[in-house]
Amino acid sequence: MSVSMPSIAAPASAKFSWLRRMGWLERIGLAGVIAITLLAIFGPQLAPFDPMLRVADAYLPPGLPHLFGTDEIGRDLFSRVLLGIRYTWLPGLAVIGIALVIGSAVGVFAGMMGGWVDALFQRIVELFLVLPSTLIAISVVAALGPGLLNTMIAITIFWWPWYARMTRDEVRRIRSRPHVEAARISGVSKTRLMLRYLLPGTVPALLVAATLDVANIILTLSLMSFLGLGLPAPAPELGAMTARSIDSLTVYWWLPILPAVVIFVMSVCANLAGDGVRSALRGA
Amino acid sequence: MAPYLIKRIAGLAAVLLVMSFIVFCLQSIIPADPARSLVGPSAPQETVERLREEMGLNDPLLVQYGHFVSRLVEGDLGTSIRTRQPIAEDVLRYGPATLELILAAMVLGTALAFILAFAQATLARSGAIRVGMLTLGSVPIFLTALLLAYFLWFKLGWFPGSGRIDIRRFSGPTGFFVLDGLLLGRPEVTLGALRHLFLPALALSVPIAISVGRSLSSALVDVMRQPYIRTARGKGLSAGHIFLRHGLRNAASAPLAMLGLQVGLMFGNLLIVERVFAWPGLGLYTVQSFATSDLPAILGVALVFGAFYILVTMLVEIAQSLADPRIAL
Repeated sequence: MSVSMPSIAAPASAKFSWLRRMGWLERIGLAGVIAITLLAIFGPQLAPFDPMLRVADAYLPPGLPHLFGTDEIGRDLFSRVLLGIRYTWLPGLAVIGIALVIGSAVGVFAGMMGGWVDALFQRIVELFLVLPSTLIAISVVAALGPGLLNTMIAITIFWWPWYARMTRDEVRRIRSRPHVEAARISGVSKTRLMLRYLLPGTVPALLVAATLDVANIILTLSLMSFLGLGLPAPAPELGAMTARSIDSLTVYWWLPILPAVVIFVMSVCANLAGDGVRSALRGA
Repeated sequence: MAPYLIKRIAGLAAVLLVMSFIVFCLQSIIPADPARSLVGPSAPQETVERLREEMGLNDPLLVQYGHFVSRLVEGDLGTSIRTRQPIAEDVLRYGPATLELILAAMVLGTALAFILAFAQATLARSGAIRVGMLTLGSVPIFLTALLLAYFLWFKLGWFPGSGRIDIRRFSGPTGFFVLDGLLLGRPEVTLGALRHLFLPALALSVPIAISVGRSLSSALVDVMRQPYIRTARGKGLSAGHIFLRHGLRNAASAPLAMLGLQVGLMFGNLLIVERVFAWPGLGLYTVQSFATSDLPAILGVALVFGAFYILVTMLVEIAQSLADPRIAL
């Protein structure tokens, strides 16, 4: 019995060894990120009240049955915030995903080609990195017209160069490794070299950067939403909810504060989870 | 150092040119015809055509861009739709308030960054400070601003929560109220201006303090481990002298770069903080321009901010090469 124990325990601990490398705070962050993602997908179904309709008196303070109180026309703030999580979290993940795809594609290409392609690419990325990005993103959305899609496009434009540079640097590092050299000499096609030999090597670094960026994206998106550059008025975007009720801060504090607190919770969880992913991959 | 500076200035001028091109492109994608909107919807088509010709709207795009740049060089940013004033005049009117706020936030942010870096270096529980910094760095800027306003202004009444000064229709020779009070010999003006500055500057300084503090503390940890620090200790130099002349000076480069980068990232936060604290600067001006879709004003201010950012980047590089002469090579 005592002999068979280690053989059962060993594979299990190997399977979850990445989780062991995280601190408990980081695990909470990771759990929070999973919970937020579920809320973003199923939140509207879980909402106790209709987020768009008047369900009670206006300006009820937080309590039961209205956990976060009610707003200026008697809508349930908690239900609206649940819907608002979807409008902030999912676009944030989408922006990261798209920026990762564009950035890694461009980065792998430039890193593999080298020469003038790489030099040209480096200059373009540098230009993006020195421009004041938030400022231009705001101007772009102001010019194209407010809206969630335009906001996402504007942020993506300024986000992919970071990933492109990171991928490119990783590729330059991996390129000279023996296994890649062996593949090149044995006549593997360029596409296959890119997809099977170079791209996989960039994944850990990109994964860490991307998870640490989720919080940044959430904060940038809610900043744009606060400035009125996101979805139009009735939609419950968290940043916009705070902005619209900002003048009632001293009377009905929960209206501007609680949506902002929810953004804060999302961003803390994302930051902790990002740290967790970093320490999990460090040992791998 | 001179050829290096010239090279950098040329590079930054190129960046400014790119920015102006982006702004120009954004301006020309608006569907509305500027000539038509100038003469009104009832004017005959010929008048609009003549005006288009006069305004150069029928020229090739590159020629139009040339005109746009030459107007910029003369300081003409166009006319605001909302205030019906030249945007350059608006910028001069609201600029000092914003510049005062930015400078205060940078000073406060640097001071807080030092405190954070020291706390992390000297206190035993640096893990707790790391988590604290992570938490503080996750707060959306409007939550920081709202909480500061709610507690320090509304609940406790320690600091004023809106505007620049309590004196009605105050205007000084420079537009920087802290400085004006000193120049006019009215300390109550300076004191009032500083009190009004505190909350918005504190809100703006939090992100600066965290990122500069992080970079400062890791740079200091790195530098203080170097052999030349041990040599300096061995020679019997005082701790303060070692820290200032040997430690801080060698660690300054990365935090300085971070400070410059933060100024670039500050503009979004500036809009929000000026909105929350009703600070009558360029940020509030821009927010009000959003509400009225005053695109020329938004883009004009963006261009001014962009130029300011490039200026800051240049100053940071000069400061870096002063701290570490190797950088100028």
